[in-house]
Amino acid sequence: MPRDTRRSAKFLPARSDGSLVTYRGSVKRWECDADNNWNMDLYARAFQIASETLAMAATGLNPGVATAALRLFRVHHELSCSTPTTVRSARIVGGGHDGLVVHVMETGSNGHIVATALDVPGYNTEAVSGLSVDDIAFALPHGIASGPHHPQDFRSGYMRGNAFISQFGVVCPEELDHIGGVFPSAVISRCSAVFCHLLDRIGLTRDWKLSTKSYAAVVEVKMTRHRNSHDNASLRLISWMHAVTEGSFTIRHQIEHPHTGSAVATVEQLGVIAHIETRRLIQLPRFVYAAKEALGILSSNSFDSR
Amino acid sequence: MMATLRTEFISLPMSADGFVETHRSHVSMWELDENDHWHAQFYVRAFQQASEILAVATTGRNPGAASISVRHVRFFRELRGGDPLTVLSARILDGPNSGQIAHLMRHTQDGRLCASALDVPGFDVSSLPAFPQIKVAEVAPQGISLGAHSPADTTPLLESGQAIVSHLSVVRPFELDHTGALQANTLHARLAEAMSHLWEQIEPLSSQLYSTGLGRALVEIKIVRHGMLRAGDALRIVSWFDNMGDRSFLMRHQLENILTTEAIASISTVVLILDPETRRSAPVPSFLRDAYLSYSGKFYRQSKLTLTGRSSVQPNATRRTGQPHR
Repeated sequence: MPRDTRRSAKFLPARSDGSLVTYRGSVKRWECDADNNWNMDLYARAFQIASETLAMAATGLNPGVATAALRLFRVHHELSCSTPTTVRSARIVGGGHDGLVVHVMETGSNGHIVATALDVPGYNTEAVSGLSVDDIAFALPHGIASGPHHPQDFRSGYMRGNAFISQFGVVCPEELDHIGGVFPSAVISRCSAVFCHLLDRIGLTRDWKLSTKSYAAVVEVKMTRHRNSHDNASLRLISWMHAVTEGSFTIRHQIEHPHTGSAVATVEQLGVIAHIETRRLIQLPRFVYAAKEALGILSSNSFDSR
Repeated sequence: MMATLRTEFISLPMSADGFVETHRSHVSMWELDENDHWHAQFYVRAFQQASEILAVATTGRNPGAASISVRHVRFFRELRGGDPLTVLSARILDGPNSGQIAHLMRHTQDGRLCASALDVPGFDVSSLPAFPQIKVAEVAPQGISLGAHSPADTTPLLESGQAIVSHLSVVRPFELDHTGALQANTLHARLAEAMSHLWEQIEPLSSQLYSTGLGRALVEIKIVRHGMLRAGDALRIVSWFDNMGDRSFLMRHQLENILTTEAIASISTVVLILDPETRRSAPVPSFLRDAYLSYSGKFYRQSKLTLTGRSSVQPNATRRTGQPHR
């Protein structure tokens, strides 16, 4: 049964099911990708704002990026330019995900569900309204397991197999919250850039895209925050292809301090291939499996946290 | 040879008609909206830059967002990618806007007026060149009343359903200026997000208006600042329709701190119905008029009782204007 609280209901619009509206925004043109769709890091930004708003409603304090130790989000439908969006949030009651926070992103005009997120909260959610797990079944993990990632020690051997240093960069002030933590959107933006490079590496090139009228897209992302470090002047990513199944593939990234090798976060992306015109999913080309075989040395040993 | 305004602190170029040049920039491609026009938040950013430059020139100090307490912006012609622009500023000598600062944004190459702002300044402007009101008459407020709004009590508006929470978000450190105040363009960026949600109260299918061959354009804004927000604060915008004219809508918005419900800013916006082909205003189509009357019929009594600073929309039906700045 939904359980409203005096504190949260006072500040935020409530839905009839007890969930609270925690974000309202819209898709700006300069935030769309080459296919005129909203970029993945913007979904991450919206869910982060929703989680901070909920934390403030529940506790009166904003813990910044520490609102979620783990976030798993899934894109159900693409969002195009100018679409108004709303996120509603609640605590899950019952089932294997009891106590997690669910965020549901809907379009403003017709209430279509476009994306969902599950948070392992980093604050006391006692005051957050609860929703039965049956009511949010559509938001439960689909292609990525919900457990946390564990940091890997790449200080020796990252050059083995397919794991490689995929990015090295400086963190800009606008990528930090009011406490100094790196926004999830900043981390996922880096992973999205690496994703494009990895596609090229496994044969899903621009030429392949044009000749097959197909494209690869990330539909599900899990981010585990290993520590809330405020020493974020620079970061590096180590990335590897983790798994290939019949209709999808997963890529993992460890975000770490370049000098100490200390892991800040791990991000896992679930990629699929769809037809440009029908937008329907299609089977992975054979050469993607071959790439996994050729490049799967690291992902076949102890790095699987599932 | 170009004239120069020399103050105790800096020198600024002056245009041939005696206005001070306070800002020069151009339209970047990544700042365009879906209609290939410069997004309205960047016009506001340019006016804020001009205002701060003027403050530095006259006082030697930059008050940041506090360079104004009220700003009234009008949009006349759209700017497109790569267009160069210049903002010219002056103090108004007389009339209802006496003592205010007029900023005129002109296309640098052809000199056409693209937008204007009237500021109630937050700094001493007595040393600036002053011009009679008649010289800036073309930019006088048209659809929104002069003067500051008082904060509205939005609780009854929300409870009755007349107003909605049109935007919910968190203030980020990079959105604040060097004094800790919310930057002008950030405030407007949030307003743009809010307006699309409010519009859906009377047009749930946003494509319906466009399917009739018409469009809508934001042509006038007034922003009144009341308070401050800190990085990490949660904010909301409460929005409602205030009035409908023959060819336009007047909307009201209040930016509030979610936790304290303190009003941070009051904003009024005028949205004009446009015929994109003739580039002139058009009558509000019947389906939208009916939807608005249905909406306002439920709440008219409450709005009369609770709102302050009401005004009627009196758009200039023949004025040429730009395309939608949504």
